[in-house]
Amino acid sequence: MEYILRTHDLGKSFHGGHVVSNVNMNIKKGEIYGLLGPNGAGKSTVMKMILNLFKPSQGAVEVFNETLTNTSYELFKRMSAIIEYPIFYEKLTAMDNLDLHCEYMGYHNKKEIETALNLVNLKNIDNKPVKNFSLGMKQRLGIARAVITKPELLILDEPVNGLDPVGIIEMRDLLASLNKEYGITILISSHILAEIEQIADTIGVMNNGYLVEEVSMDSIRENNAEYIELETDDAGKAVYIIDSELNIKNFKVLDTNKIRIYESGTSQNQIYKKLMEKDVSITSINTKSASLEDYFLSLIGGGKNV
Amino acid sequence: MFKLIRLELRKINLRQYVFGALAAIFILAGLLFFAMYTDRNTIGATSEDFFFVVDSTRMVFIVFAGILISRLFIEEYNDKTISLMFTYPISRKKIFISKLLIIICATFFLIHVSRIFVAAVLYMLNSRLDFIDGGITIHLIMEYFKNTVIYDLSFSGISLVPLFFGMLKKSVRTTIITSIIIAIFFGISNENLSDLSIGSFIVRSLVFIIIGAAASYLAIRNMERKDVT
Repeated sequence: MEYILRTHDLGKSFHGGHVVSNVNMNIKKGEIYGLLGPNGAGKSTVMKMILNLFKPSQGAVEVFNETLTNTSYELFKRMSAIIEYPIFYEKLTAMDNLDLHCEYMGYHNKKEIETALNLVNLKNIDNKPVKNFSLGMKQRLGIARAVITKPELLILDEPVNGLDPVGIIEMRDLLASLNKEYGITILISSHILAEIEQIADTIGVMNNGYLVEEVSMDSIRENNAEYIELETDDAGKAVYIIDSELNIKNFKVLDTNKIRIYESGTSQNQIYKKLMEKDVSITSINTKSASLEDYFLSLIGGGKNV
Repeated sequence: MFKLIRLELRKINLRQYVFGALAAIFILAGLLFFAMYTDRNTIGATSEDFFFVVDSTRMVFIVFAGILISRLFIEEYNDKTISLMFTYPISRKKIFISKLLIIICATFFLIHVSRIFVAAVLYMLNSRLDFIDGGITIHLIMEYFKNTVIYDLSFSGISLVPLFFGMLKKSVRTTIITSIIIAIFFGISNENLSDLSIGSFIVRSLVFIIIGAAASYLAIRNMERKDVT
């Protein structure tokens, strides 16, 4: 397996307080890696360390099989990024900004500027300075700038912020096609789960500065495809029966009367019958498919922190 | 490096600042001239006064350097565009050196050119109005300029001191205030003009250059190792 980016025990502390600790991320070449986590989980800090904007307090970043040092400038020819929000020289026009970007990147195929602007569907920008742009337009322009040079690694921190719903869908399609057509590896962070769920190949979940899980979407779909949710008046008794009589171990009591059974190979019918047999009244029982959202919430502590 | 300088210049509107500075020169030199001219009968203007007016124009460019420092360094931090610059495959040192070169060259060039210009205008005025006691010769002016080239350069050096103070807290205000203080303390001509030899300027020039170099070194030395916030 070829990795384009790995972090080894990456950590960062500011004034003694840990913001990021022991992050071991592994991003494969050609995939879309979604970094999920609530606000303040440390996602941006990790991304800044990858871009050398923050220097790690511990551990190291390995990009394109090279360990990032203070002077590994050449590596940045092969990556582009938007961190937090897209930054421009606000007094200059969009074209000037993109042109400067190409110059600094040492990229001379200026025709690609038009292509990139078309890709993100940015029109009527003429000679307006960027400071007159809306946040959505800046996001689009930022993406355009990031993809002009067709980098091998694209790092996007919350790229859909400020976009309207149509824009979000366009963005998702754009990222998917950049990934497929040009083989660009994408590291994208978000707290909007549904967005990532649909395009990511691998998900890393961060909470309180730790990478609590790194898992492929395929295996999430496999393992969390379905669960049975039942509501009952007597959860205590129901749990006892499910556990000891049906021998099902993978379940969770959500509140006083709601139980979710995750174990694969259990049939709704079987549970229903058994509970009726034991005289446990059931208000409702149905099979649901778990979304990433539930999985995500279960990882970061049952939604308590969100 | 030349390319980096060109790109830096594209980001700021240098012409606008140069015009502003030239306007300030006219006002400052004009005021000093009128002061000298109206007092010519009571105090008497000498060649020393002539050079006082010529040299004091550099005050404007010390403040001008402060404004350039604000635009090229401090505002890049305040606008966060520096974090964009630092994700390019270019050494941070080179980025900063290109910025420094712009400030040093622009300040030196403008100080020098404006002094020559003001001297030329004053000389012409004097040949008409004849307000300087004992007159002034082209030869004297040429000699003076020849000996003070290094001295002009040293003012680009001392003009970099505000970079150090401004970068401490990334403050435009601190930068400009420091440059105004320097302009007042060092910009106003206070040379002893009885001795126009090169030696009399060289020590002072070297001290200014060393101070400027030290200030800029201290301001940017840890750039490769520091977090960009």
